[in-house]
Amino acid sequence: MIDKNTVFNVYNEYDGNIYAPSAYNDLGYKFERSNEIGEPSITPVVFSDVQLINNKSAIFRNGTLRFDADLEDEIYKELRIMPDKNYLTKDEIEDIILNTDTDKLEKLIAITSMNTIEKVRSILIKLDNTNEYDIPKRVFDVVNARIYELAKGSVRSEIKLIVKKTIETKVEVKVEPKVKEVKTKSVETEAEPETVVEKKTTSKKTK
Amino acid sequence: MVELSQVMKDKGRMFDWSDKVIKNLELSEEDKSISQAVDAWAKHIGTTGVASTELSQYLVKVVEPEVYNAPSELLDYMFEMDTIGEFDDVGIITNPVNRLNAQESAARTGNVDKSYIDFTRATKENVHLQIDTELKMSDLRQNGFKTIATLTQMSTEALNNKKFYSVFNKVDSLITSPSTQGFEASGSLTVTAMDDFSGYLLDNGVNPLIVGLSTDLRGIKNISGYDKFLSDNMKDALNMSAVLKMYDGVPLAQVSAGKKLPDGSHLITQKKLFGFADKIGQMYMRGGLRVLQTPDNNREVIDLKFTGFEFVYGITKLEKIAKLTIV
Repeated sequence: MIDKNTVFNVYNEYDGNIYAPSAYNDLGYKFERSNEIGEPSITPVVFSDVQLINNKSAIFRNGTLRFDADLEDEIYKELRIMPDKNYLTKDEIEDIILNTDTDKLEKLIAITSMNTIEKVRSILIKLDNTNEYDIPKRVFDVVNARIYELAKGSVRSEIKLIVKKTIETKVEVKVEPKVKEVKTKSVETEAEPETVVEKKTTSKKTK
Repeated sequence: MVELSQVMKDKGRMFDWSDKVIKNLELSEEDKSISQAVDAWAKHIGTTGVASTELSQYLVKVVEPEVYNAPSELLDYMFEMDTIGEFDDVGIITNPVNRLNAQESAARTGNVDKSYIDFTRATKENVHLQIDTELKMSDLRQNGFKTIATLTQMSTEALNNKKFYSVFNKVDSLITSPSTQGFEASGSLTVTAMDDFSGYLLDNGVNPLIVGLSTDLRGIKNISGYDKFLSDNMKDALNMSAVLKMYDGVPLAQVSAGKKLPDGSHLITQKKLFGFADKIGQMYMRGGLRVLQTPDNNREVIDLKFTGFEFVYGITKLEKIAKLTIV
């Protein structure tokens, strides 16, 4: 049980300002954007206000605003937050975009909240604009298609990821049996001539 | 009996008439005679099914000015409006970026690196809208001019709403949040959030405007602690209408949450406020509205096809848009 007056640090890793109401100050909280080198801003918030904000919005539930890493589990337990399909942290989203594969794209399709998918697009476009990464087109396609679906109101997605079949190619390297050598050898040694040839040819066939 | 073709030359006259008929307002003498004349030919079409072009001509003459040239307050505010021919095209150039670089150089000789003004062509968005519908001949016989008036009003509304919707959808997709231009308010609006949002608009233009769904704009007056900024005049005004007229000197424009597209979606996304610091681009209405009409005697309907409603727009000043999302 966390005391209501405990103060926690709240981190904002994103490039935009996030605002939240407060029970004690009419101006409310302002979680500043992260700085130029990507360090998150830190704002101290009383736990009762954390509960107030959590009741009104999904900002903690979808992993946009974070707490200290070692306290996160305890706070989530107290706030009854179960990290689900709409919970994606900035690191997770960047991992999905930069090291994409089918399983990770499925995570994007599973998103049911417009705010979460918009957050994904925000990071996607930011990474794309840096011109430093080679982001596959299928990531853009999935994100845009999912936004289109959610804007229409269809929560259950109809996006299907089709894994293209890759045909296994068998390369047989034909090695000409060094018959001549062996033959000369066999002439010299006059022992086990045929079997040696066979063995050599089979062992050099690679699949 | 009035001559309909004469009345139609008077722009907006027929549209006013149809508006009055739909809303059951009191009709003037001239309005009544228009009703009679329209009734006569509507019933004539309904009884004979003759493939005359009267209906389509009427719709083109009356509906087209309403969807092409009528002032639409918000879109006129956002775009520089113009028209182009059906087979014409335009290149929209974004705001030239000044990259001319004045450099220190050795005196009286030599050159410095060249620098250029950045003229970039904007990506254009081409939208073509179309309505296919049918009019029952029995309706034409039964209700006559009322059917025509309803058709006039509803087709105009459908085209205008969709135009508005597709533009705002584009604007929404251009600004991601959270970002510098995408503000995020968690739970409810706060004074700081609105101050920063309107501040961004005031910093980036001289003629700012905030657009939102009426349900969301009503939330502004309920921001905790905002009541102390309200003058007595504003409080009086608030008692008359639920939405404030201004916030920090930025006018608020509301889009009714009651207006919906046939699929049930609002004209603007819910829980989002859009801010425009100035005009954000150009819009061209292309060609003209065409109404194609075919009587289908077997099914006793008249097929109507509203087509050629086409517009091109380019958003050239992205920095003049801001968005406030309520998460």
